[in-house]
Amino acid sequence: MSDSYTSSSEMQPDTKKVLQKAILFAGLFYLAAALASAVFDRTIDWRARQDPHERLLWDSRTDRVDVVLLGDSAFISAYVDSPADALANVLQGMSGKQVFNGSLNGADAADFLNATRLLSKNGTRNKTVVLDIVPTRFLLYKHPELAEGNYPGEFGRLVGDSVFTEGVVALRRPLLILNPDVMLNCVFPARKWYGVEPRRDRVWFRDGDLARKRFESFEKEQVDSEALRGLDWIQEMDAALKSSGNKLVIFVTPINQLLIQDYASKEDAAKNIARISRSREVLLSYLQQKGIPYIDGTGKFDSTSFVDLIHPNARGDRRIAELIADYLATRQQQMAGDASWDHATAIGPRKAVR
Amino acid sequence: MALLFDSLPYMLLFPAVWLLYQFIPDNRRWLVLLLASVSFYAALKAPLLVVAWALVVVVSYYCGLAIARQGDEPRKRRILWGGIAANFGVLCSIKYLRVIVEMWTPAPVAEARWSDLFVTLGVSYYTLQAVSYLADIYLETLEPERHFGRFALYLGFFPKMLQGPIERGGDLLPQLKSPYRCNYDNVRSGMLLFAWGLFKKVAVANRLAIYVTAVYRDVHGYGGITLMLATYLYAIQILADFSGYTDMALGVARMFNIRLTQNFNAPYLATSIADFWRRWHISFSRWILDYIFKPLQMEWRNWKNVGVAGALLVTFLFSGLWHGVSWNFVVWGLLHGLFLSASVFWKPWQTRMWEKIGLHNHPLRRLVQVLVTFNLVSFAWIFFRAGSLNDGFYVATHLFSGVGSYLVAVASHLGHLTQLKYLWDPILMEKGLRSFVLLTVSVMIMVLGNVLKKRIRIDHQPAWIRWPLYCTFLVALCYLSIYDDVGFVYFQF
Repeated sequence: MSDSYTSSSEMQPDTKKVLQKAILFAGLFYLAAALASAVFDRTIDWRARQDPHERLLWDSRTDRVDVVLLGDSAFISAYVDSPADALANVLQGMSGKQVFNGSLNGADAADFLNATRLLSKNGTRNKTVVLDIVPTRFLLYKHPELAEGNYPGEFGRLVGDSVFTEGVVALRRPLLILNPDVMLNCVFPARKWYGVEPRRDRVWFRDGDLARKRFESFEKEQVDSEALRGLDWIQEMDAALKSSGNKLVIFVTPINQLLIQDYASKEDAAKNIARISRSREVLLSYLQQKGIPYIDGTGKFDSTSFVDLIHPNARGDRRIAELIADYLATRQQQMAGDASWDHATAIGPRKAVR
Repeated sequence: MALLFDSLPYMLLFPAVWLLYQFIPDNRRWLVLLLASVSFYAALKAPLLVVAWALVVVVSYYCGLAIARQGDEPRKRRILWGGIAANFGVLCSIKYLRVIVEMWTPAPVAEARWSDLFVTLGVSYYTLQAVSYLADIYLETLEPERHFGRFALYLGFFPKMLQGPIERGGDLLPQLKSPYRCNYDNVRSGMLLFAWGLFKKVAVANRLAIYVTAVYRDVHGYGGITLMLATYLYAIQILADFSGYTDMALGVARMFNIRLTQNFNAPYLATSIADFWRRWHISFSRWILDYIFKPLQMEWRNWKNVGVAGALLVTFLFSGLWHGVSWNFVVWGLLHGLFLSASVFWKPWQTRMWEKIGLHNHPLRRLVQVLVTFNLVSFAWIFFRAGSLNDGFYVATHLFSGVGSYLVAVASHLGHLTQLKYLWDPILMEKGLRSFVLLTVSVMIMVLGNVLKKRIRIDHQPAWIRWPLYCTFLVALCYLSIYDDVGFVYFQF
């Protein structure tokens, strides 16, 4: 065997050694991690230590419920004191249905679409998926909406977009113990996700300047334009959910109109309210046109249900739960009277809601 | 799908290239590396980049041959300058394309329509490499490469294509020609170096980026303590980011038995700005030293110290402009130029001062020099990082605002500091204690690793120590990493 290798016919001894050791190391590491994960999953109540506001990102049990809530910070129950006050639990109590809250703080259109794909990956079928949409979502802002959403890394770990990445997701699934979020929440002292400070009764006009500051940044961020952001992702989401046998219902989250009138100048208030109303009308007409059912919360909340322009407090969460529970009950009645699911959806959005 | 070092596709596709490389005869191995390089570059989905690279390759290849062939000095020089002009023409066209387009089209529209054309990854690095290649042939310190494929590989070798090191022909070309024999030790040490670089990038730089970006995105919203802390954190971030990339590049190249230039040598332990530039982005500082500073210094040698200072100013102005078309980079470059020029006049006084106070050979002198240099470098980084020149000046002029009252508050609450949220807020920057602890742990591992790797050779340890250590490191990498598509800081140049 010569010192200088010019032929490809045989494997060099060091190449063989590298491959053998790499395979052995990777295999042993994977097995050890998978085994440790299995033991960890059986012996530790790790779900109790995870942030319920990010449940979708760590809990794959979306297939075991009747209703899935998706949306942004308006649905994450950030302003309640205990799990019992949280939207999902209140709704569960009112409707008698199992509810999974998969809303994510600051989620955008791309995140909702990713969430839809994740539901389908988790085997979620024949569920009602309620998505919250605040009409302010369609206004134009200085910071553009990111095409990949605000949770690209997180969703990237959970859903693949090609055979290759799906393979990686599948390989990673048994390695729970290597999930830094899960493990660090268990290792660090359990954080109190609720009751950090009394929040449930916070109301915008008696809560210092939090609401005012947020409104100022909303005004500062807004582009002075009548143009609106696109809505087509809603139809895309509806189609994706339908294809996995689920049903999308939009919850049109109201805004706190009184706050705008109080904090903005008379002229700006009128402009803001008109702009948001127009955005809502465009959204409703889009939903009607596409045959997507919706629950319109506009005019059904009083101003004390809000912590600021859009976020509900415990009272607001309860009101949202009531409206969704009403909808679910109405639809159940309709379904009982109808022969098929398809026929029920054909009743049309307004009839389904009211 | 951009195949960046810290992306999973890269980490899975790279072994395939390496494996293929093992089974190809020596005379075809360059082809595997060249195809891999072009594929990785093409994966950026910026077609103009590949065209620009091909142009630089063709121009430099033929100019190199022509310079070597030419006996007539003026003609030789004309070809050299023609080659340099063409290479810099390509560089400027790519780098300034956005500026030109935005003269006619509003920035958001231009971004939406032509964002693929505005990608400049790697161009600055291989054009400088091409220019040095031509200059070295002209100076007869290098023979031109006659094999077109190997020459293309020299400019486009994928580990160093996007962010350097800027390799000299004399260093890299011979390595690309030498016969390959797989070396287990090289592969292992290359993998370790790659993993270490990855840690610096994803666990340290990406974590720091969260803090730094939050502050620099809205500099007016923060007080002096936070601005100062963010500035120091950025100094660590850019080091972890850039040296992390370099370690990954060096590691990957080493697996093919190719040694690339070390780009960093503990730069924040430099005792002067000149020393800093001998330790920071070494391949680039060597380049500007050899091809800009030295010729200018020779040209202006009759002006003595003034000539040296002038040459330093011009050199670092170029350095600033090389980094980007922005006043921020001009100010950053000028600041370094000014620091260095001032030191030309200040140095004799400084030496005398240390002698007078009796600390000429004292370790304290070194400590003071390191601290002063680090602070000057960190101050200049403000302009490098700031979103605009106004933001940069705002940070620079508000570093100490509110610091006095903050320190008074700390001093008067020494007994119960942990209970006072408002004292911790400027340091935690709204990111929470856990995040700050993880950041501190990551930075400490990096510092500790840098210290230990010079003293303890992991590859000399027995397997029962090495393997558990590798596993622990992998687990630490999983827990401390952040993959938020932050991108490498130096890619933009």
